[in-house]
Amino acid sequence: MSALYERTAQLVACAFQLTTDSGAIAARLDDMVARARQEHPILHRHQFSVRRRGGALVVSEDAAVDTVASDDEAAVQLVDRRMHELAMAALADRTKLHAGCGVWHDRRFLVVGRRGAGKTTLMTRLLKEDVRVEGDELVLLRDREAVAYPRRFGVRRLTLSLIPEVGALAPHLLIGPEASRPGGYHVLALDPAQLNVPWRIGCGPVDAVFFLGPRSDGASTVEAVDTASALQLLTEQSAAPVSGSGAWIRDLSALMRSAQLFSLRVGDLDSGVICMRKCVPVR
Amino acid sequence: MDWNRAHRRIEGLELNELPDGYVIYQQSVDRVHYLNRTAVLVFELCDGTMPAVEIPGVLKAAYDLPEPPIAEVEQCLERFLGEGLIQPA
Repeated sequence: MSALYERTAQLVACAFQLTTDSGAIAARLDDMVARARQEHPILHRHQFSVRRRGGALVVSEDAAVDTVASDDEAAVQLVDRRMHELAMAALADRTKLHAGCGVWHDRRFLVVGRRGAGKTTLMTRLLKEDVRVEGDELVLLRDREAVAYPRRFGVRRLTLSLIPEVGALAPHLLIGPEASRPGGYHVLALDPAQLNVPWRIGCGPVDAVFFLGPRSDGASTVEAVDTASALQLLTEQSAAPVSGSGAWIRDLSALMRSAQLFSLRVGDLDSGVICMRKCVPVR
Repeated sequence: MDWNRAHRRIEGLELNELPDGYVIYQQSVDRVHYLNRTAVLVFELCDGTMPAVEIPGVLKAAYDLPEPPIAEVEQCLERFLGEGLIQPA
């Protein structure tokens, strides 16, 4: 009789229980699952099992849907994909915004920017500050509430090495080939816990929004952004909930009502942090 | 535009108030509009009773202007009419 490994995970409103008879699969799941402590209430529960049956590797979802996987990695990828699909389906009524999210002295702030704008680099740098960094990529909005979607930070190994204060917390993560992917770099699925930083995701109104502008050549700069520009940037970087565009605009308007709006051009990261501190004063 | 006519909002607009204006979602054409404070005042005066000719005077008093902003109000109302946010009452 083989050992049975159990894992649990939460993705915002969904809780998952994962069981497998493979230690290798359990270890791989440990590498992929976001281990953030989350305050959002659990509304749905799902179970996955991955077991060998007569030579086949069977992934079972909620004891109802069985899928045969070709190998361990395919099974893990399937479970991971289905978990995120179920989690997002449970949040279909939320506006999705490309943004990092953090909390500074009880003040929640978002860093909004297109893919590649530098959200992850800035949020990773903030891990070294007295900031509760909640997410680096996706925030879900509903009325006045914002919650970061728990996804491991997609940090380039090179980026981590350029933030020595953060890289020093986990030097083992800096070891390895950088150009190990077709894109020419290696992306770490970083859990802040790997840097000995507790990862907790709350839920609440937003006090400040930083829109990442083009990089600055020198010191970072920050300035207030007008509402019309902010609305345009927010619509460009967000997606409507299933309930439609009316709810989308309501969510974005609620965000602009509660938050101060800034344009941030990051030069060196340290001055970027200083700029943000000025805009998010201690309550 | 007939200055002697009042205008009123098109029904079905979804208004979202912000500290410095309105964000209006126009479901019929799936469009979003942002109105600044001055545009909001003009929009609010399109209540179906006030003739357009009186609106510049209201703005003159509200913002303590030396002259009624007739051209600006006309431009604003024309824009609202063109975007389908208001119609003659």
